[in-house]
Amino acid sequence: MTLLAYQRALIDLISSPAFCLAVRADPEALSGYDLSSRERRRLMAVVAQPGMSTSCTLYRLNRITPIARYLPLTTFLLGDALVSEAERFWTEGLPVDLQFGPETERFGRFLDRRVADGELSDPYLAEIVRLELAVNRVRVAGPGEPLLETVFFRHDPLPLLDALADGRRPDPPPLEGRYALVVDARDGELALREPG
Amino acid sequence: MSSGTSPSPALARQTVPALGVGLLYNPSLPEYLRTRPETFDYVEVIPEMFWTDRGHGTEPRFVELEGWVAMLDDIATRCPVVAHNIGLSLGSAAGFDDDYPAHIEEWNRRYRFAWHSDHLSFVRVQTSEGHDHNAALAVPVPYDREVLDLVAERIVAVQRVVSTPFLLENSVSFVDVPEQELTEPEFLNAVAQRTGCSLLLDVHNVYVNARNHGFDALAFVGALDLDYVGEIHIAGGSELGGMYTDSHAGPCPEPVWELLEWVVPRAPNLGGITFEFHDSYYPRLKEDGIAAELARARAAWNRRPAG
Repeated sequence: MTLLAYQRALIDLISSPAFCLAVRADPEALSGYDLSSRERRRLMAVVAQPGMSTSCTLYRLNRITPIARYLPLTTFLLGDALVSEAERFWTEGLPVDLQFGPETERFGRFLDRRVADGELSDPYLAEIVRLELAVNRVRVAGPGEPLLETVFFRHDPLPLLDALADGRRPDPPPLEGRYALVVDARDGELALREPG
Repeated sequence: MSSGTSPSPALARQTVPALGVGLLYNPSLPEYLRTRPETFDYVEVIPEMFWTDRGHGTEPRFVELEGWVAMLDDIATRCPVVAHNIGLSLGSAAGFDDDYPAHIEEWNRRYRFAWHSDHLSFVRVQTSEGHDHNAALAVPVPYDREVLDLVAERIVAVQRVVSTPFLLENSVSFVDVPEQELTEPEFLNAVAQRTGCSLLLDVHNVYVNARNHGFDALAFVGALDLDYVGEIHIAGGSELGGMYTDSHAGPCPEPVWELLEWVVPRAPNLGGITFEFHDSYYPRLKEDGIAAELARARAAWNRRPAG
């Protein structure tokens, strides 16, 4: 059991610079883990080494990179808020797979909820998140799963996406109304089109 | 071998075919693979890049990325393919994924991998709620006899399922773990002797650890039983926060070449030398830069012992 506890504690340290600081300040911060005395000494030793900071940084880089890759327009809209939102999200859940597909999906839903709760006020964020999640879903759809999804917008999506593709926010703002785009991967190539 | 580990019946050493010089596949490479086939003898792929793993209990669990798989199908018609896995998590204390080797074997039957490999580390840990937590990076295991037993047992389990030789890769560690019962070379030698697996000696990883922790890289490789080395990885790295990392940042530094050139003539069962770089560094290397790294690797390959 103690090897498992050691690995859990080590991962918790790598994933949380704040926990590293807490353990450095007070070894009792490890008291929740069923560690042998040698494992405790090992963790106390490694947490004081500069290499632990490197490990923490790599952990954060490795987790934020797939978000930036799979949600690029969302990442652009978040701007400097990306890191703080990602850190807030990481305190809520744990990644479960190596490709981070489900984690990206969960991060998107987390942002959607943050918008709905009024914590994030970007007018385009929710619809862009939903679009990028739909794109990712149809791109990796398994047998029998939908290759086509409809995403609804509160802003005209064409000028919005044109602007974001150019790396800028739309100016003037797109018209507000009820719009939709179909994300279609049925022909093997991803296509966005208006319904109908 | 001086590890002092408990005796265990050694399995026959698995041998790998002598392929030559290879490249680890990344998304910047398709054009290079088409236009410069004379510069490499095989392509190494990370199978996990070609599928989405939806986790235990999902059906289907492994969903293939069609465009990527089509690319792999094309590569496999033109040259041998080697698999370099990142998902076995051999060092996890709990929750070894029994489905994973079966899926590797399924792909092995499709692509006839010359060999496959994974790392001496863990990437998953089971939480107290029973979920898998992905560590988001390969975390080294402590080199203790308990862990040796665990890793060896898992490798034997993998070997029972996957019908191509398995190679174990040495790790990068940014921290010094005190009070370990074995050195890393002792641990690797013991695993190889116990299971018959070969070693994937990443000489850049050795250089990273030696540079960060101040030990002699040559002494490290000299302590390995080089009869077991079936593949060598070479790569470049970069600085991050005062540490040198295995970021696969373009060309190999000179000390990596020196290690390679020292090891190859002493590794009689070497099957290949693989150059790894991250696709974001392609603009730094370009086609001629890749070809130059492979040419130098081939010069080293040609110095392997006869027989």
